Amino acid sequence: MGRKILLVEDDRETAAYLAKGLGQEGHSVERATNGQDGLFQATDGTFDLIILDRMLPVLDGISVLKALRAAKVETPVLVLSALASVGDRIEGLESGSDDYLVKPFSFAELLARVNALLRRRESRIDPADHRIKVGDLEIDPLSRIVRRSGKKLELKPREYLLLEYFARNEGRVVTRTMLLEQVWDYHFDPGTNVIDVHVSRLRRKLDDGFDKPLLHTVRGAGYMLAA
Amino acid sequence: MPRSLPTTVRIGLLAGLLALASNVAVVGFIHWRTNNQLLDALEDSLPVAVALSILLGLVCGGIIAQYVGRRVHDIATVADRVTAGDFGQRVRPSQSRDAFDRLGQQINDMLDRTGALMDELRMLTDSLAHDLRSPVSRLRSAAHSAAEASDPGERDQQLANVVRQADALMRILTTVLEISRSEALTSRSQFAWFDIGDLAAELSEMYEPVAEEAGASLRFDRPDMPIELLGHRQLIAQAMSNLIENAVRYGADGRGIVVSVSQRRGQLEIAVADHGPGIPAEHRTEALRRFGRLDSSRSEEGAGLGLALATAIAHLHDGKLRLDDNQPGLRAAIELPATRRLAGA
Repeated sequence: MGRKILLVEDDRETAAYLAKGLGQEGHSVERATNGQDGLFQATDGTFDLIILDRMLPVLDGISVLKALRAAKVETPVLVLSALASVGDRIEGLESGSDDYLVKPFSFAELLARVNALLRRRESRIDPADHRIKVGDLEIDPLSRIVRRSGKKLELKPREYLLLEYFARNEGRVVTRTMLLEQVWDYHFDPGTNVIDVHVSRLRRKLDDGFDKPLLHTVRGAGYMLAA
Repeated sequence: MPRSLPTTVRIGLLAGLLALASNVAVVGFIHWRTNNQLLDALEDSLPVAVALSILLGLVCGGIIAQYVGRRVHDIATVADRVTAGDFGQRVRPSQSRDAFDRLGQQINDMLDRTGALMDELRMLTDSLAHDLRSPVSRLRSAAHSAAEASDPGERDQQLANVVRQADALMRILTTVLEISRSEALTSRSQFAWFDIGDLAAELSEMYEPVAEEAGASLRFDRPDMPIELLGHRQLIAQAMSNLIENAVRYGADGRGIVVSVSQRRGQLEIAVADHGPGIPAEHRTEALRRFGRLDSSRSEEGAGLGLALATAIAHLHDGKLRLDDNQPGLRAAIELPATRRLAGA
């Protein structure tokens, strides 16, 4: 299920590394090396995702993004940036991007975000039954009731949000930073293992007493919920 | 400033001319009211009076001009020397406590402040270069071990260690950047109103399991009323999480960690108190400094920057970070003015 991705990145090495990796994942990648070309190609509107470097020659990433949104191009945009401060991240997100990733990043982190953005688009096209099912797990986002094999699980509010986010990204790697940003809405890097602690608590409630674990640790990347 | 010199000379001359004019007016008035010999005598002396008045005016103007010139020259000399690189130069105050003394004092204050900032910057650059040596050398030796490893399993492990060390290095650089961004006040445009009680509750809930894993308890004393703050929610959250993480890391032994927010007399306080070993009063200033580690055993990733970042974020909000004795333990409090100025200074 390859998708069309536009990569707007002026750094040749980074662009080659990303294009190769995404290509191996089965996506077809088109490249632009400056903001103006990027904007021109992006307004075609036939891409499933745009990966946009923030600092580009001719026209910077944020201007490209604003121009795209003004032109009603709603393709999901993932902004890459070496600007790492909290203020920069907020500015990047507020200018209309769907996600913001700070350089340097691991390919696993980028891939997880790319997949989450592509997935989001998919679900927008195909609105399913409001209940989310993963194996014998059933989540009702309206009542926030969670059952596994018919047995009701008692979750704290944040544990529920965590599980719902995992379930909406079923079968995909979710990184710690994604959880921090999406479930807690914090855009800084806490030094401790705070996310791991919450995930392991959720895992205890979710998987203890069941033969088949649902919540898996993906080494070097993050976590994945899968039946 | 140079414009005040001719202005003052003009004022001197004007004073002389006014004296002359009033002389003439008085003579004219007496002439109109009376007609006696005294007047004749006065009329005779009029040219002399005119000459004297002009002379007096010029002398006054000259004295004032010379005085002003000298004072301005003193200040200009100091400015020139500082520009030339002698940063220790200061304007010497006179005893007159006039506008020039005030100006001189303001210039001295400005030079002191700039000097302090320069010292701090120099110290930061020095300590950054120094403190980056150990993570960089850890990174280097990890890469070296990975290259040496013959067993694929061991090599993978070593390579994972290389990535971890590189991440630690990035984290230090990001935090240093965040500190200087906060101190440059650039993120004030992202200020918004929010309830600090909500944020503290959220963070306490987030760190409560972490504290528990570390063998401590974490409690949040929520005030009855919402406490609204105009600030940068993300940065305040980061500052608070730094304080809570410090408390968990160093103060978890003992009874518990208490997070509180309060507002009284126009002052807003966000405090994290622990019952750990605390920081002795004489070491607290050092603890707030960038890379100001209290002992070398704490040289873990990014250590020594958390409190400096919290301080910088407090400054961004016109507040400060205070460290107190919690008897026993440490009480770290971010104090912010509850009603804020509109203009970003």
